[in-house]
Amino acid sequence: MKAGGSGNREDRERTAGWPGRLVAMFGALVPDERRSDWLREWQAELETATIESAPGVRVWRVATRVAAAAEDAVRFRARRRPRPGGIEWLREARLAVRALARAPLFTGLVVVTLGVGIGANAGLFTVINAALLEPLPYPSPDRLVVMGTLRTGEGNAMRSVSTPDFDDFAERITSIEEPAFRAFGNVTYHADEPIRLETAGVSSSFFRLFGTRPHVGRYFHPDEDAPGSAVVVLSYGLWQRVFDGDPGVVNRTLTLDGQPYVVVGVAEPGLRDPTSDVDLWTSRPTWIDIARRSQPWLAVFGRLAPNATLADARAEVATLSRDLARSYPATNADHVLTVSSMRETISGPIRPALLVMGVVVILVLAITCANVASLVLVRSTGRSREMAVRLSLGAGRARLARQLVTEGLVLALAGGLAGLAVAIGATRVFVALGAPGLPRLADVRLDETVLLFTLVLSGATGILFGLAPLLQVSGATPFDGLRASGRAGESRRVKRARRALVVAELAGSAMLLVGAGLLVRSLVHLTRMDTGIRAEGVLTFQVAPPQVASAAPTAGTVSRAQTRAELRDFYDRVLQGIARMPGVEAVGGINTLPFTGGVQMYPVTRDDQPAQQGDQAMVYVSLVEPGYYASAGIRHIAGRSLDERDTGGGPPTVNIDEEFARIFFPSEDPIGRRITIAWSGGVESESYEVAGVVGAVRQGGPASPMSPTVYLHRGHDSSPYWMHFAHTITVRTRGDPLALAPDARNVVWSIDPTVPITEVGPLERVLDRHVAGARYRTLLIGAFALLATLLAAVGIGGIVAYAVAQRGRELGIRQALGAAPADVVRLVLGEGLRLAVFGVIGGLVLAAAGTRLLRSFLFGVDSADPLTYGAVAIALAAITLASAWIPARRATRVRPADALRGEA
Amino acid sequence: MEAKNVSPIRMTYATARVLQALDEGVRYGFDIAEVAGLRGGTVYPILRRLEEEGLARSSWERPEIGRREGRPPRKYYQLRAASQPLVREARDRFPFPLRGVSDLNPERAR
Repeated sequence: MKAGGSGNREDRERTAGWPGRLVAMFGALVPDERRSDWLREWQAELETATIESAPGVRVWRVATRVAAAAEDAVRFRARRRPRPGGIEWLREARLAVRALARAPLFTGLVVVTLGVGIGANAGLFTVINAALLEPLPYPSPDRLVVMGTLRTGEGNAMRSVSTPDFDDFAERITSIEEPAFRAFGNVTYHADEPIRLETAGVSSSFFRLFGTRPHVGRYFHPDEDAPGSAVVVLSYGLWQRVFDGDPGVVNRTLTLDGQPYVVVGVAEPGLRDPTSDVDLWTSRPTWIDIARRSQPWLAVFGRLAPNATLADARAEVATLSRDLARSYPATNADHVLTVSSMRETISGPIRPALLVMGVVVILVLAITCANVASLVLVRSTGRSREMAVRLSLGAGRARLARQLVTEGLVLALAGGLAGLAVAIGATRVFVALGAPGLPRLADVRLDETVLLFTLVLSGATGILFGLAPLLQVSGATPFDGLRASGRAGESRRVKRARRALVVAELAGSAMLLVGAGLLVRSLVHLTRMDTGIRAEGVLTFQVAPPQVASAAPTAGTVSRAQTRAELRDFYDRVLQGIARMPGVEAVGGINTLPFTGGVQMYPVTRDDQPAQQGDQAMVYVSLVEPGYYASAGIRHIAGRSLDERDTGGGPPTVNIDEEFARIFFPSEDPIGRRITIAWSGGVESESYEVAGVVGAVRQGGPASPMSPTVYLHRGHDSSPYWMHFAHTITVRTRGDPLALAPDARNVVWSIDPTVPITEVGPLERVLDRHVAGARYRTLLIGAFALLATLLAAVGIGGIVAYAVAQRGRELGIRQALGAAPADVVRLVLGEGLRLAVFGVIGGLVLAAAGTRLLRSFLFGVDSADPLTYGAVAIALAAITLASAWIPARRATRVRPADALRGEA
Repeated sequence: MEAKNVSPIRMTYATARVLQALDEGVRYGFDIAEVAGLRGGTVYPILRRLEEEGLARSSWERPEIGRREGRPPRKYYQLRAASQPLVREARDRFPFPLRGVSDLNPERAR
């Protein structure tokens, strides 16, 4: 015992890695007093094999030694303490392995089916699980809530909260603790070159709420919530990237946008904002406190108080919302404050996609099980004669059952190992493909529970159906089984079960194929959609010159703020410089690119038809340089484009798009008419004359409708200061847009070397983000549909092959009596086709019901698209014929003489 | 001849091969497996059995030797004198030469 104790542990530690651990595990079989010596000997063997083998054969050598050690350990045990049960079991397993090795095709098909089915499913489920079902990586995640505003007429789209609303919320609501806010922003920091950093201004409660500890230094103190604290916490990533992980950065002063900020700490590596990554967190920014109720810029989080429920919080917030609407009708009448759980907010939008994936997973699992079941049935009916022989020679039924179960277990084990390998690969692939929109994907790890569940389910199926031959002989006397020769009794019941399984498999794959087909058609529609923009060949990049001073500046907040005139001069020179570059066809700029979701909306009315507060239409408003239309490929429709006349303090003018014209001026000429844009929620507004009309753009991406849009000249003084935070330059090029990026950068920096340049890339990339989600879904479902079809094809092939083997004698006799090979082929294919017809029809009917789930992902194609259904039916029929063809050909090669002698 | 065999060792093919290998001076488990054409998992239980019956003995080589050669120390097996009748029986019943003893590292085959 003693020798086994201490020596054992030492030895285990000496050889690391899985071979050492496996051997140590087998060592448990060795008697205690001999274990230490045994382990030492085998660990030495392993080390020798590792050291002395060439890399190519090392794995093999080590594996054979592990196997030898296992065998040695088992024999050690077997001889020392003869336990009939254990040895019997071992012999059983060996018998099973031999029996399976004698049927390599069957074994291979089952293992591949199990491996692919289990693996792909476990991989997909792992991703779903991580995204949807696992708790958020914060303390008591289910009590975290998000607050936002809902505007009348916008459904459930949650918007941000204004600073005064947040302050009222923080002061009055008791059912939510640690109310915290976050407001995204950007600052410029001058490292080796000017870089633009993503920032979040947060309250000190933000870090407490998410239960995080600083990596270095500290987070914000509550007294730093006071305006003008100017302290920052760096993200771990920024700290590593820009400050080389130097802990001395704490207490240093950084100049951000020309302002001094003191670094108080570095956040822990894993601290991730629930919805976004930022480079640094600043204390409550000054501009937040000058913001008004009309400017909702804060995302608000909190934690339910110990005894409060979400319903309590909702009721309390609703009361607050009504009070605010009464006290501030000008700004608060058109929206309500609302609370929802953070989990819902994060995973809610992707739930439909995950539901579809869940259905796919279940279908593939069912098909896997059906395939294993039908393969095992095929094999086991062929063995009913063997069973009969063994019964008649005196084997007990229990003994036979044990053997069959053991075979099933060995198969399940092999399939499970294959599944594990596939699952690891599949998870990597799903993560690598990026799954746009799937939150928290970086945290995905293979889920063992799922793997085990799938393994147990499909393994159990195999074992259960493996027992079928026993059922078949149980009713009959052994003699019956012996007597039946060529067509060794396959009962009607089993035959029907096998056919039903294949029909079910076909139906399942028909459903998946229809789903995949519809998604492919949607994707094609989506990519061919006219967005109103010609994105190919356009280079875009963002520049952020020092900002114009805010409308109500606090003294000294913006040190090097440029005046509008200075900004105008900067942009004029940038655009002229780029226009002179070779390969440039057109250059312009816009404050926020379409398709990014960042284009701002403002209430707009016709001057001759003033609307009530809250009734104005929300319209996209963009600031552009005139060259924008040409560079983005937007058509000119009527009137004139904005130009020099529309800059500075000149008469305010706008361009509108076709869609705006259609909605606001249905049967009139809009040129020369006047509209009013309500900046700041109606607090400031300005009347503009319509100078021209341009082509419409789908602002929300290819799947969204054409959106009414108003364009202002960037250089006009009437635009609010916050629209100038950054500007995107658009360059239409001849050839590869990215090739011009270095030159464009030099042009900007030759004019002002302090201006950061970010988001450099082709315009197509912005558009591609909208298609990426659809492409990912299509790829996943398509892959699973193909997988299912492959499994079904294997199932059909197996069934027909078996039928051919069963009817060998009959087919031979037919040929002897003059049947041509073509007749035999037709006979055999007929069997497969009959199954296909039932399967496909059933599948299409189910698909018609099931694709309702897909409806929200379909674009430009009906969920009952006849083309897709027809194509799937034809494809499945073809696949059925192809997989039945091989065994059918074999049937024609049966030699009539052999058949008559009973040898076929 | 059957009567003479009072040893509790059953003269199987595998046992005979292991005895021959040991008799020809192969002392290390996996070398024995190699020259005898047996799996390691078969050889070790036989070696252990021979040792338990007092027909062979094992010894760990001094760690310095292994260290010099950059490998862990090995456990070597050697026949005892009492095994000679058994070795003869093995050669009688399975008179096949071992394979490639001379190919092995001479030091190992010593």
